[in-house]
Amino acid sequence: MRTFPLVALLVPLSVPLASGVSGTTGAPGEGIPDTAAPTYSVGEIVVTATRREIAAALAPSAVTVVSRAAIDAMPGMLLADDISWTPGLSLRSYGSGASVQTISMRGMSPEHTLVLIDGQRYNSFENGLADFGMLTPASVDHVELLRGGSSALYGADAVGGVINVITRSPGTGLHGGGSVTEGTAHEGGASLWMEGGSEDVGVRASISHDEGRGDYLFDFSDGNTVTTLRRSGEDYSVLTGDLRADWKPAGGVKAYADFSYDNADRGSPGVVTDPGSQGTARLWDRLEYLRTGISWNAAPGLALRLNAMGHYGFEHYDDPGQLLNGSTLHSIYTNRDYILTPEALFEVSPLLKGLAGVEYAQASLKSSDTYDALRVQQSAYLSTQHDVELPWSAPFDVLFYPSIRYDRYSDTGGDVSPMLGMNVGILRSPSLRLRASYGKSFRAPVLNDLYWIEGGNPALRPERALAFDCGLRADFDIGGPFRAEITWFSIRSTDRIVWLPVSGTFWSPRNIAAVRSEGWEAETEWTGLGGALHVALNATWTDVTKTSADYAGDPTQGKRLIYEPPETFNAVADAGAGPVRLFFRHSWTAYRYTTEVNDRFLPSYSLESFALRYALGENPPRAALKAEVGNLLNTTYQVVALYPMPLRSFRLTLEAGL
Amino acid sequence: MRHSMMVLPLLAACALAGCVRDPVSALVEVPVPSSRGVYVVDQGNFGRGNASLSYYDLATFHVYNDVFTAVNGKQLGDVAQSMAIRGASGYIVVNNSAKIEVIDIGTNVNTGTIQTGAGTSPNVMAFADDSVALVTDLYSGSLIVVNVHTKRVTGSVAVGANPAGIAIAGGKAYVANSGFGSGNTVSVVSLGTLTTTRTISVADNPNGVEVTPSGKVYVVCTGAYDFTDPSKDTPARIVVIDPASDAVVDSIYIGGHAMDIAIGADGIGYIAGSAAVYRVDTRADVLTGTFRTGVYYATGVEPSSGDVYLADAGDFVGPGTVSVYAPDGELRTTFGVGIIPGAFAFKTNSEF
Repeated sequence: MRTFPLVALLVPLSVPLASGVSGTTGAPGEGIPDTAAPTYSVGEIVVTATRREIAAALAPSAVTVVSRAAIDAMPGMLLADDISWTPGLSLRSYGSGASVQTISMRGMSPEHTLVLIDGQRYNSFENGLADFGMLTPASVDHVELLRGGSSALYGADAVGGVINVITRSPGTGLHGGGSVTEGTAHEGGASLWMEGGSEDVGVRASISHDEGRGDYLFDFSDGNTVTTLRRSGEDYSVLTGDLRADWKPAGGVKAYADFSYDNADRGSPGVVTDPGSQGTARLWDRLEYLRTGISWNAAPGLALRLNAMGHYGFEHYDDPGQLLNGSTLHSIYTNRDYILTPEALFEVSPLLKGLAGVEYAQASLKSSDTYDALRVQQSAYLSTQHDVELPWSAPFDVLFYPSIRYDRYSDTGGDVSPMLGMNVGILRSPSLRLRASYGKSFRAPVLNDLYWIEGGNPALRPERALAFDCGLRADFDIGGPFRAEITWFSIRSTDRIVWLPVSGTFWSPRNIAAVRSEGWEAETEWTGLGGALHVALNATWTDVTKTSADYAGDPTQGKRLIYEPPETFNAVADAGAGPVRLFFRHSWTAYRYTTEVNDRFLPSYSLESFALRYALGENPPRAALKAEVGNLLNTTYQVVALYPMPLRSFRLTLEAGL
Repeated sequence: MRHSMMVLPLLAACALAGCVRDPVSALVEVPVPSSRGVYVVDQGNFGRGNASLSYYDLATFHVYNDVFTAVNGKQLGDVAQSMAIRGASGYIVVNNSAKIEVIDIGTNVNTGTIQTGAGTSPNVMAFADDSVALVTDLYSGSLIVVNVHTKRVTGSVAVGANPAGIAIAGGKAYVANSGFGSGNTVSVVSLGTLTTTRTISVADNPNGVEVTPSGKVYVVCTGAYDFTDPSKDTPARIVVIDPASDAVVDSIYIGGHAMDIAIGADGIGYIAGSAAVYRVDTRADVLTGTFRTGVYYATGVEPSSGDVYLADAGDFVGPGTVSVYAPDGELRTTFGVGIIPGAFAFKTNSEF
């Protein structure tokens, strides 16, 4: 059985689960069932919903898990390809390959979605974004996607939801392998990995390189005629390395250290409004992260853990086609951040458990476009789980999850984020559970907002949001495990930060706008034929509207936010027999407005992708061949206006392992 | 069976997926041909390709928005910066699309596209003669030379950094080298040799260039921005150049920051400053007072009536408005246009 790295490492407490959830147990480290099975929403211990190990069915908020097995089966080069089909997500892609990609949840913008890697912040302090164009799945074990406001647990930016990327732990024994990939869009890649260890200590190292010319074909329409053109200036070269060591000495201590290095050199040619208008800008990023964690079972019912993260990021953006102040455009950003998070997990009784912690973060930015910035964050949080002992013999069980967190920033002041969640078991067999949460979340102004030389506003306040969601989840067996969930959500945010002109040339951010996002998410998942067939469907309906008038007669009041589709639908299916595994995905995205006054839009589109994998052996396979087809039906579409997306493409990957 | 009953609502919900249909695009009116009118160039938002062209018919006083798309079926492009009229053709300079769209101003039919080349940022256009036009290339240090008959780029002329405005006077082109805020010169380009023959020092951040009815060259210097200490900003000025000698003959203090000036046939100019539109008498080179208070993004003067057109970009996200004032300041009308109205071009009887 594959271990569940973060749970095994960071949550040493036993977590007895409420009864009534078929097929789950609460033993630490047993959260993820055998991922050799074609499972997407593993059923399912998660750590993101409460910062502690908990069955997803008992969580107060909706959580979807994408397993490593699913990642292996799906087509696509980036991690975003593997998770963008889940409910409530909206992917903004600025091209193919490793081009900049961001993800938003529940109709909020990408800056309102907190991305974590092994529970530690990944969003940039500088601009609030997580660039999924830099994230490949090579070292990823699984991903947990928590929808809804969660600042009471995670602090700033957890407004639309949280994406927690859990990386792979070293396995036991000595293994290694590699892969090579070639694609028809002049793209290729290679990866190597090696791991070794025992039950007590292990090391895993991986390195991968992906590159492409980015000169794919796309259909350009001027409104009258359609011409097939070739993208130019979107080449990329991405090098990713990861070195991880896990250590479990005696005495209930567990520790890990993970160093990752990413270097991405990417063309950024901008919009295509005309056959001759492709630009020449380039974006170069170097990211280095050191993440460590140590936990100790200090006493029965008490565990202590300390997470620490250091980050160095260097980015420069060059455009030889733009002359500014006597030289070509050359912007530099150097970020240095570290975060310390000591916390205690306690279990007062089988009915009351929780955790309390503090967080200290320091983020610095030096840039050609901003004043030197230094932000210090001090936070404290408390989150508990109450299993209510009902005074009568009730056929249902009730769990409450109160949480509260205080965050104080050296430049924008303090904010309290309370949240109350609940989960009620209505039926035991089949399992039917009602969950709900209500809480306050916030987004802190990013360093660019505050310290941008040409217009930064140091008087900005954090954005605030009230989020409510309520859902039903059913788990039962119809020839195999079947899960169905339906959720209604509402997020009302105020003091939204909007950049407005202060003169004809320069813009400055202000706290002015209010936005309401409401909608439904429905998802089903079924595994049948003894695990040989897996099908998952989901649909999301989102109505995200700007409710405020920024000035008298503001024509954007009551209009939908740009790039947020009112509806998405996804269907994934895979079937496996022996060494062969087939995967198919269909995604439909409704229209998206591209102007704040909603007078222009991008039309709806469907995308289909397909993969066939033939593997000899498992964990790791001795040899595997994977063939992928992206955009199977050759659909012409844009995710972001004027950024063309590629037509049909093919990729072939050959893996070998020992 | 009971389980199946629970599955059905979910499957029904998924079956509803895809029922959201695309909006129906609003129909836009196609203007009827008219002999007098005002084009409003709506820049649109950078990177979004939502530039548009509005037309105010001076015969019927009717406003047509998104004219280019309504007539030609295609989008105008990304950041329409300016428009020049020569003969029966209008030339719309689309900055971030690196092109100039040419229309027949009688019908608004697109008669061609001049591609200025990848990486160029065409900004403002001026005609050397009936076939050759010079276009400032904002993010370079040169002018783009265009043959409007063949609709091709034929060369370039080196000038100062980040050329913005351009105007023709005395057989020469006067080019404001903005330096994107750091410049303070005007390049003089010979129309005969298409080379820079002289560089004139003016005030900080020259942007707009206009020629007065008496032939003087007015250079609007926006003034430099100091973001570290705004009290060190330098003020907007108009620097007056005599094209006969290329000497700076006057300097008019405006204050604040101003980008461009529109000058009527009577020699009265209107310049949009930081908080008001000021009136400038170009005959005496003096600031004569405030025409309207408020923040406006562009100004224009209709040649035959002398009416003053002031563009308000609003929040720079939604549609803007244009207000029309009589020379005495009386408001004639206000109408809605596209996103960020940033320039005017006037169609008069003389073009037909």
